[in-house]
Amino acid sequence: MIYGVHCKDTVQTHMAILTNRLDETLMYQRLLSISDPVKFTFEGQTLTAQAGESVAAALLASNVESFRDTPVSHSLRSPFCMMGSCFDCLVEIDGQPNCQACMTEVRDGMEIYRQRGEA
Amino acid sequence: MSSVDLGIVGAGPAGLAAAVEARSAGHSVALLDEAAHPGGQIYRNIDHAGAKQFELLGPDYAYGKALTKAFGKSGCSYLPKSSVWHVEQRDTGFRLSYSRDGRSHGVDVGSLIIATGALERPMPLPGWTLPGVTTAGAIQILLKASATVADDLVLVGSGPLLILLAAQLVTSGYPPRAIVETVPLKNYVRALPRVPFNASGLGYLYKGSKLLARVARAGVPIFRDARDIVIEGTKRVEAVSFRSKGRAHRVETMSVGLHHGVVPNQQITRLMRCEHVWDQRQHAFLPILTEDGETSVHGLFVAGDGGGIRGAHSAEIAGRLAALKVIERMTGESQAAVKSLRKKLKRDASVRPFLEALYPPFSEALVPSDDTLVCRCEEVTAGQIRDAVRDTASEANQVKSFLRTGMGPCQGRVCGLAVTELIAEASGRSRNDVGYFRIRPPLKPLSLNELADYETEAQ
Ligand code: FES
Repeated sequence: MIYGVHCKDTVQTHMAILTNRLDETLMYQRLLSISDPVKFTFEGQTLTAQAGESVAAALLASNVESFRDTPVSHSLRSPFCMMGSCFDCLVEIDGQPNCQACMTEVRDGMEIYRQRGEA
Repeated sequence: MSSVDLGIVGAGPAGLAAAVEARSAGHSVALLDEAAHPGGQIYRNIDHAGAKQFELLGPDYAYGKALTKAFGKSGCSYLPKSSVWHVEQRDTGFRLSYSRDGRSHGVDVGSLIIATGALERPMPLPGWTLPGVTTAGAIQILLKASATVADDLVLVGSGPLLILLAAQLVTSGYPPRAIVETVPLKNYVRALPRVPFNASGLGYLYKGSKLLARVARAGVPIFRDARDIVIEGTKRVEAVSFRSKGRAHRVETMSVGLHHGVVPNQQITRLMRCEHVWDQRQHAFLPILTEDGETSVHGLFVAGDGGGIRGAHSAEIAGRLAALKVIERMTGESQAAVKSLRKKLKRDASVRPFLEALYPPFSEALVPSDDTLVCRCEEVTAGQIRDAVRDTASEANQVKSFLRTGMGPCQGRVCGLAVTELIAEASGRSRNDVGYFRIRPPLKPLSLNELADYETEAQ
């Protein structure tokens, strides 16, 4: 992964998350407020999740729109099945690429990045 | 390498029931499951769900609690977060290789029950790969596991799960923005003679009608007989456009939930080269099974939706039945309960012909337009598959080697049936002749390090 590209994208992501937050409608809403918080980062931004949930659920509930881009056409993807079959939720967690976000429990201090293309 | 009498893969109703049955007869059982907690998709997170989830998901969900409780007390060796990536036949049964927390392990089992349930039927429509488009099942998993809902969801497709989800979302206070229903109107007439006039069948229909009434009362718009469906957007989903009863519509949304039925998850039975056959009514391949769930491979059973879609209740019965068959083999004593379970299974399935006639797969997703992506991993379009067929590829595996469909990380879990369907359409051959992708180990991508460590350990 090239560091320069990474930095630029981090800024963009940050913007995307912020604009999203200002929108009236969010993609996803939590029905319950977080009672047992876990703090982690996505593309450098700190987010909070409920302990015990998956990385995919944590990111979706934070209204992160895309998780990865594809190896072939670099189009954006986000979780499709949430049950481990489609691999559209792949992210990089603590330096390890190819992690299925929907099958990984979110933990305090996790550093998560989008997966870009083939890792 | 540890070894047990019976191995079970999958901790849904079939797997849990099988484990409890075999344990109560005193046999050693190991149950492997990908998730962190038992329940499968249907009873996902049941042991940790709060009052909110039980309120939204209703008594059919809460029912699962009894199953996980009995399982917890059964003394079964339970291996959660364990993803089986290979199964091999041995003199004494089978060896399962599985990955857990980035390390691989093996377990030898005498008999094996595959209870890996169902996957969503692939629904390749234009735009179905855009962020914000998920399966309806994914939305339900978010609800069960995280009490999280999509804010302005448009549901597209048909089937009992779609209606159930819509009703649950109504209760949550976030009703779907719209339901774009793909059932041709003539299907209602066609399904009528198949109404199951018995207690079990009518019970299912009564429940379904109550759910529909809840959705209707909430004023959720239902667009019937929808066609020409296109999911629009550039970087994410922005709208769904379609025609319904002759009029064009466009509904703006940030989330789309797709569903037109579920199909058996066959990764392991395919890997084991069990015989499968096309079933026109379920519109899917099914493993060929005996009445009690044994495949064409001796000692290898399938219980639950993996053997054909019959739902959670049937899955539980089938799990017990398969376990009793395994017990019979091991002890040589015939099991008294077998007969009554077989009967129960038949009765519970009586609603299926009605559902299958009413909710067949959506034709536009079976034969998508040329520029629609079919294989999400390798980004192969329907047109490319048709071209390959024109250039003489007429089997699923030929198309796979030409175009890499099914060679991505999902190994065809998502696109497999759609590819078979397209080749059948383009070549005019039967689905049995077209066949399905040859499934090879590892069933899930493994790092080379993990593989190397495992191989040294096994020596
Ligand atoms: S969302 Fe499909 S594998 Fe994670």
